[in-house]
Amino acid sequence: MLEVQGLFSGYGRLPILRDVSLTVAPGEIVLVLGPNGVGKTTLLKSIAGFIRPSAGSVHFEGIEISGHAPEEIAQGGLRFVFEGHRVFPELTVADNIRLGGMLSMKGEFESRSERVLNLFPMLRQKYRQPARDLSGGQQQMLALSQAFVAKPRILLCDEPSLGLAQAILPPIFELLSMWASEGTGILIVEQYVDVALPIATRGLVMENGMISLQGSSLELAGNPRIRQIYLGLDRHMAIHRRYLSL
Amino acid sequence: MDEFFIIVIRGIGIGAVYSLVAISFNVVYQSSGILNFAQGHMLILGGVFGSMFLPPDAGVLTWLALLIAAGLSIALLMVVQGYITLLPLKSSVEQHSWLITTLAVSVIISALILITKGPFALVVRDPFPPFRAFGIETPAAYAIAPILAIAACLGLGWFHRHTLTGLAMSAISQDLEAARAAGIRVRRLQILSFAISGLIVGAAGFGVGAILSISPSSPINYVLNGFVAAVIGGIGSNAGALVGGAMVGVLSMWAAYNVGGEYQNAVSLALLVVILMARPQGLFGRVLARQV
Amino acid sequence: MMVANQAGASQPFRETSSRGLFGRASETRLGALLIIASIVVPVLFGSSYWLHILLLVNLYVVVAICQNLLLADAGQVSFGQGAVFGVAAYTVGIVSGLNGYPLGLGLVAGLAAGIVLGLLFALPALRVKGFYLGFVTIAAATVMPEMLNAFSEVTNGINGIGLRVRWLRQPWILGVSPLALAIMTLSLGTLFAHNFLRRTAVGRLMRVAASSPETALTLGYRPGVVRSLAFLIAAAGTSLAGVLYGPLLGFLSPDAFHFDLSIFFFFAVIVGGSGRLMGPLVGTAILYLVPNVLLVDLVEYRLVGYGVTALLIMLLFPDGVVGTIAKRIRLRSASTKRAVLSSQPLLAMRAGQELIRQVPENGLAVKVCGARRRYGQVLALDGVNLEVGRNTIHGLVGPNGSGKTTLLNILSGLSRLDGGTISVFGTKAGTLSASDIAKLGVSRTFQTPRIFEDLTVWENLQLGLDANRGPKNPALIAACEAIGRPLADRRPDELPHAQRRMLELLRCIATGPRLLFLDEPAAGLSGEERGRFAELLRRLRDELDLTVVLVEHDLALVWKLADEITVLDAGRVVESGSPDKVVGNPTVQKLFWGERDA
Repeated sequence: MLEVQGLFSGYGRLPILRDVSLTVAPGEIVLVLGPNGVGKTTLLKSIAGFIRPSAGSVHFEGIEISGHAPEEIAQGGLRFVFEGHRVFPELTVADNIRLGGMLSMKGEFESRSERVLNLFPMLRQKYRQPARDLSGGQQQMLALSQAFVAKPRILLCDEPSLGLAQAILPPIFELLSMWASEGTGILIVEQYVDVALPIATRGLVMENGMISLQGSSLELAGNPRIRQIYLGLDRHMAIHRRYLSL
Repeated sequence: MDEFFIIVIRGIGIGAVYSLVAISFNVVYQSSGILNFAQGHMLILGGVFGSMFLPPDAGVLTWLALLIAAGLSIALLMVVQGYITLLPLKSSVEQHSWLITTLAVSVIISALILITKGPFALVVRDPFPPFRAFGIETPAAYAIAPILAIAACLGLGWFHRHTLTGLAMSAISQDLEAARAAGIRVRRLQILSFAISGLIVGAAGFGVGAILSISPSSPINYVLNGFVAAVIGGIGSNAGALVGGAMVGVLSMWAAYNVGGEYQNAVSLALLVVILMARPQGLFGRVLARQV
Repeated sequence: MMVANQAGASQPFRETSSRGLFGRASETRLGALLIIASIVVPVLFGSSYWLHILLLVNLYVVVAICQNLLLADAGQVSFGQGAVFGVAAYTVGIVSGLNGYPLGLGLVAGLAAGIVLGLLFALPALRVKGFYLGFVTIAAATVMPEMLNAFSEVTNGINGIGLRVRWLRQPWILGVSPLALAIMTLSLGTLFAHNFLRRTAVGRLMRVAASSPETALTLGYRPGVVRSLAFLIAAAGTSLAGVLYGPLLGFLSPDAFHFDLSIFFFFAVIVGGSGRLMGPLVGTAILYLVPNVLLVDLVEYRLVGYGVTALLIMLLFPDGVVGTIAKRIRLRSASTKRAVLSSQPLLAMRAGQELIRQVPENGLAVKVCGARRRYGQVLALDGVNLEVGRNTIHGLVGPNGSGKTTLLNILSGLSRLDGGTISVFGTKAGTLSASDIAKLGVSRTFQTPRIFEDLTVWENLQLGLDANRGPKNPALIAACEAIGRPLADRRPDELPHAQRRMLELLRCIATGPRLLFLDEPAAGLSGEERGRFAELLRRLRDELDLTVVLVEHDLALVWKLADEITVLDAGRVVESGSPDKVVGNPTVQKLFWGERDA
């Protein structure tokens, strides 16, 4: 449903992505892994319309979306959740969710809103409070809820676990699993491998702006090459071989 | 003692006009970062509307109807201006073109007023009788202005908190990218903010036309004083605009009475410089006046 | 709300190319020709009407050129030139016209008064940014004529001041009067001066300070001083024109200096083409001659005319008349030869050639003790210790938010510590400004290369040489010339990213540093380019005795390149030492591998 082909992208004249291609099918959770600075966020932003790719194409449900404005892409059913739990700080939790669901049908909105509040009871508790009063983890839940009520067919999620305590993660990943099981394709960037791999269908590992390694989550789990990439170790570096077994 | 009350009452009255200009600045600024130099001209056009369409024997209802009509007309004009101003910003790197285009529009409006109405001040009748306060008779417009200003402030507050469109507009000023990611049609709302700004300032120009100087060369005074009011209150804060406007109004009234009417602008300028040196973000502003 | 781009692209209005068919030299010559013609032709034809008009246009052109300098070169949105012009003119009127002092005294007084006012405008420019300055100067431009009326005892108010100086208007040399000669000289002089300024270090510096004050700081300059200089120069030029206004017209009144005049100068620059040397000539001519002379019957429509013209130009031809023409010419004659930057000449120099300043024999390059820095609730640096040995390459790594960029900013002086000490080559640097630290021999690059698009490649490199405060080093200058002169008419946008990165690095080296801070220099480089980059850094360390500290995400690069590495996490040092030691530390591995603590 989401097809990225030969994508080259970056910031101004700073090239970051080189010839990236991937697909996300309905119901799949595709995990993008890789060390910092490798271009994971650039990839998501380029798909979502915040960065204009310099070459390559992005097709969503058969339609070319590269070069379109982010709001058009969002209206078309592809939602992007930013890194760093960005919500509207001065608006209440209720209003944040309302804005998220601006484009959905009323009945649809009500039922999905209800479901997500059941999953995140703290949001229901703080329903009338401004979003800036929420903790980081709660804000992340809010950001995801905003996207959820819009019933997107593709979700791009940038490091949802960043800065959050371990204990808060289960409900978030439960939401993502449920979401995918209902037919939404999810492309999720996560720095911490062990956290998201359990719920993922497939994974991609990026290195220097390109995809180095791909496979199902089973294939990737325990693949030492990933660790090498993260640690910046050359697979031929003999001196470091002893560190690979750790 | 009389003089004191005149200064305060009229000062607050005219200050409310500056507040209205400042509030209309804020609406556009919050959604697009643009400070519309033509705002004072839009105010005066509201007054021109009044001079053209307000019949001498108009009753309250007619006045109210025309008030709304004036607001809508100027709103429409500002939609056109908004479209022109935002157009170059879409594609080019030229992020400051709005300064030129808003200035150019203001020059054009002044020139058109000059051509069609001549260089002298137009008169708009005050349909309400003067009121007495503290033993001084004051034209009604000096009371209408604060009422309009407070209404605008409250109205915008309600709009931003209780309507979906208003919430979306508020969201844009809080986090532009997150708003786009939520599918909010930023460009459309930016044009709407121009329209709302025009509604406020056009209605104001009509409503208090009796105490405005409606001529081709007067708009600059209103846009500058409105700007000072906005800066004092903190650009983006409507409550701040109310306070800032009152301060500018009272100060310039005081200057008019004690130093001379021709020093009013000089006093406002001095106030502006002091504020920018001492506290650039104003009373209630978020730190928007970036210091280099 | 409106986000300015980084890397030298945040300036509002610029387009300054240097050579080629519509380069600086030919623009200046063409402009000079037009100016001379504008005076000589009416004299030849004996038309005193046209001579008078064109002399006035020339005065306006002088002011417009100053406005152009302020706007395009210095990046300042100021509408104050009309006020400066008026104050200069009126001072002459008051001193010589009303009070009968000799004209010479009046001229000097006018010049002084105008310059003082012009400098006053620099004050808000130092404090706030962008449109604030615009509004303040518009306010001042509005108030000035009002004050002229208000202080009527001094200025004669609405009645104005007569200033008859017949002897200045008599034909003198070849039928041209002294006044006409003076105005023509001023006009030509201002045009040439603007061109000349662009070729000097000061001119380059002005444009750097306008686009990226940060870069100016790291080159050792203070942007505030540079900006004030621009205001001073603009005020001087404008005042020179202002003092001649009275003698030309013979009469001064407050109406002539309505704030419309200030807006006129601004529009003239925009319509002509902001940043173009000839722009002010063309813009002034269009906006003055067309409505005031050709359409003189429709004077009422004059204002509409130039409002509409300015609006249309902004929407359709944002580069202005001259700018659009120049761009078309440039595109058509674009060079097909690839622009290539080579670092060879630099590396061919040997260390014994006194490239760098003398360094005390012992001592570390950098020593940080207990560094602490807080941003609101977040502790970006929490007791960091760091030692960087001389003549080493030191890698600074860590996850996002670990504090490495903060540390780099503090070391280069762009940020301050809340606690702890730092010293650079033995000098305490905690309280030093960025420009002072630069003077210690420190140079740095940024995450996105700070390259100035409106300077040529060579000019970008020259910035480094300009900032070199050490003793004059002919070998370094020769090496830089060898690298840069072949690219004297190429723009940075013709270089691919890796070369732009290299250009920024070469600029840093041209300043003759002993310590180099590099902020994610490998970002955007391909695998092969990274290899070459690493080799370059090694050569710099070995041949040129440089010490390098680099912040990097690319761990592979760092393990291979660095002599020593410091790993930061959440503001604290996790490990420090040789690459083997650091890689072997299990905590470090977990940090990068991405295991979370339970």
